[in-house]
Amino acid sequence: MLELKNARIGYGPVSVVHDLTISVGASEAVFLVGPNGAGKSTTLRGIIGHNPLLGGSITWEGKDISKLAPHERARLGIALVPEGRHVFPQLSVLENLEVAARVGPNTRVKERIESIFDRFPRLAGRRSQQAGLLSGGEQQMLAIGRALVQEPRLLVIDELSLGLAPVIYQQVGESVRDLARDGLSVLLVEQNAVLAMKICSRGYLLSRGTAVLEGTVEELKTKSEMRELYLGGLGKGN
Amino acid sequence: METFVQLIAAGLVTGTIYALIAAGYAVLYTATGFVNFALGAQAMIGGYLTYVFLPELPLIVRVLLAIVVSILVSVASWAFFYRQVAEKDMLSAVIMSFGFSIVMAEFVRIIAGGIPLPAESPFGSGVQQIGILSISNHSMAVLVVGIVLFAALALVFRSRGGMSIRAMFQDKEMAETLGIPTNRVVIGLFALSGVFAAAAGILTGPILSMSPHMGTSLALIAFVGAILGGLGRISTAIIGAIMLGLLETLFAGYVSQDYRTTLVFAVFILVLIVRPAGVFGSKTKVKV
Repeated sequence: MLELKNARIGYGPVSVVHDLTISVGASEAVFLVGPNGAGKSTTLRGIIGHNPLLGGSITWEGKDISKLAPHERARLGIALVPEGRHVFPQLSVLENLEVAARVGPNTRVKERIESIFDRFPRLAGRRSQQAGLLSGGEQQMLAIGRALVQEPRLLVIDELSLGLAPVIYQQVGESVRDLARDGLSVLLVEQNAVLAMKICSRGYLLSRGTAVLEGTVEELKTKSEMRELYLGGLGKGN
Repeated sequence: METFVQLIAAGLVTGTIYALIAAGYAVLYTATGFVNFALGAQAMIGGYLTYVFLPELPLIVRVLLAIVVSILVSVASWAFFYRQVAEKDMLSAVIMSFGFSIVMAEFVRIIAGGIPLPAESPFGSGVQQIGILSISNHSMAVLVVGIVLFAALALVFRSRGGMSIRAMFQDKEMAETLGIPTNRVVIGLFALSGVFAAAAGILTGPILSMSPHMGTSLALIAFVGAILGGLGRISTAIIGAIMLGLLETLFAGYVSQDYRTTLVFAVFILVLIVRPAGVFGSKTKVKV
């Protein structure tokens, strides 16, 4: 569905991602892990359209999308849960969902919003509260809800667990895993490789702007690079 | 007491005109971080189109023309000039808008001459007596038009479309990511600021008479007003501009007519030192 081939993405003339080839298939959940500065967030920014593609290609169902503006890519069905949540702090929970729901086809808005409240009952109880006053976990649920209310075909998540307590990110992680099992395509950037492997079925290890390892979760678990770098002590705890 | 009431009314009228420009500033600033100093010159051109250039046309046509031209200048100057510069360096774009306002003023001076020309109010020269207050039809019209436009602005922002604009004000990149065409929304807001500028010019003409550089001082004083209240929110910018109008008029009436402009800029300096985010602004909003 989404494919990057030899992609070079950066800021102005400086490229951070040098030569990256990754793909996400229909109904597939894929993760990207890697150390700081590996180019994970830049990759996502390139997919969303906030950073220009300097070389290679980005295609969506075989069509080149590298020239499309972010809002045009959103309308193809690519939704982002950004790092740091980025809920609209002065809008209420309901308004955050409504703003997202009313972009594109203006149909079944109420129904779509209610389905988000069914999925995240904690948000339902806070629907008129200002989003900026929610806890970190609730904001993350809202950011996911805001993406889902658009009924996307691909959910792109940047740092699901960052800044959240373990109990909370386990919960949020389960929600995303359920979504993936229900057939939604997911591209997850996650610093916590254990969590990423629970949610996704396949993944890439990025380093210095390129993919140094790729494979299914089972394959990756056997690789020494993954074990040493990311599973180490964490793996035993979980 | 009578003087006081009289001065308050005059101050509200002056303040409303400042507030029309200040609202334009705040709408654009919250959306883009850009301060369009050319709004004053657009007001001036709106005034010349209404009162000077085309006296043979019916009034309503001249007014509509003034509004349309102001909208076009607003939108085109952003789309073709400021935007490209603003993306690289916001301050350069702001200074550019100031330069553009001088170009517009000189352009009008070449066509119409630099001598101030009288403008006749579309509302006649009548004066109404309300209790101890005597107020001209034109002043009343200023207040009514101001209230109508500010109410319309509030309605726009409370509407469904306005919700996306508010979302964009809070997080532009995220709004764009959600699929809101922020560039198009910004163009719409420039058009809106054009309407407000034209209204300010049409309403100012009969009060100050028309001169090519009237817009430059209007732009600066309205900016001081917006900063006084807080440029980061539309409501505080409007209130600040009205407060400045009141302050200026009371000062001119009770203290000194000669130093009223000095007062305006003394207020400006004081606000920047003491409360740079404005009297009502919150600290986090400071971006000036």
